[in-house]
Amino acid sequence: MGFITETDFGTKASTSAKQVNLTIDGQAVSVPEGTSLMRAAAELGTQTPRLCATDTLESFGSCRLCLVEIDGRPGTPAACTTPAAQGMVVRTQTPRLAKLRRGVMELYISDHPLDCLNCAANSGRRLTIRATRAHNGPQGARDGARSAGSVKSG
Amino acid sequence: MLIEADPYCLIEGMAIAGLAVGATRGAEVLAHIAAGQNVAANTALLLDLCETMKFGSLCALGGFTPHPVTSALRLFPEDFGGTPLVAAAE
Repeated sequence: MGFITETDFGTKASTSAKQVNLTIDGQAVSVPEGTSLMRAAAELGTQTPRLCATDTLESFGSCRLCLVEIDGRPGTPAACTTPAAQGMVVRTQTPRLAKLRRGVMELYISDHPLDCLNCAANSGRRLTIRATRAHNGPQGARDGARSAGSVKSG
Repeated sequence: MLIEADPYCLIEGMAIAGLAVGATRGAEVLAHIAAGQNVAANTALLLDLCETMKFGSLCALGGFTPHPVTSALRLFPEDFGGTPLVAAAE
């Protein structure tokens, strides 16, 4: 008998009565005003990569893996802290975003002990796979990307 | 100069992954370049890191820190093993 798996929408539901219409990865979606882009995408079945967001907490935009592109807006805002707005055109999967996410993940792993196999927090082994990819990924372990010096210990 | 500038960001950005970790790795890569190790590969890595920091940082300091680095790479290539830009006419 397995665990009950519940869909985690990433951020809390909005209670607004007003709906906004937007486009995410070419799909039209209508969500209550105040809904995050991450939740709007999740309602379409699109899982935006994330480490820090969960729908039982207020979003705080810390992990920088849920970065998305929005037409007409500069930079790459986090999907968990950006509310959906009327007429928005959002992309959650582009080669540029994939490269940025890989870069952010590479920075995390560069300052993290490589003990995923023995780590109690990693029961699902998903981080092991991610860490292995970051270390041995397309470009291999990069000079400076994996360092003996920890940021925390200065 | 650049290597000295980075520790400031470490102090300011302790809690912020993009800035704190990025600036640490940036200072390390700059030190490697300054020491003449794998200059071409490390310069490419540094540009890659700058791009990640510009668009991946939570805070504006993390987004801005790479700018002087990319400016130096663009305008003073001789400091990174490249050929100097042609000087402006006097």
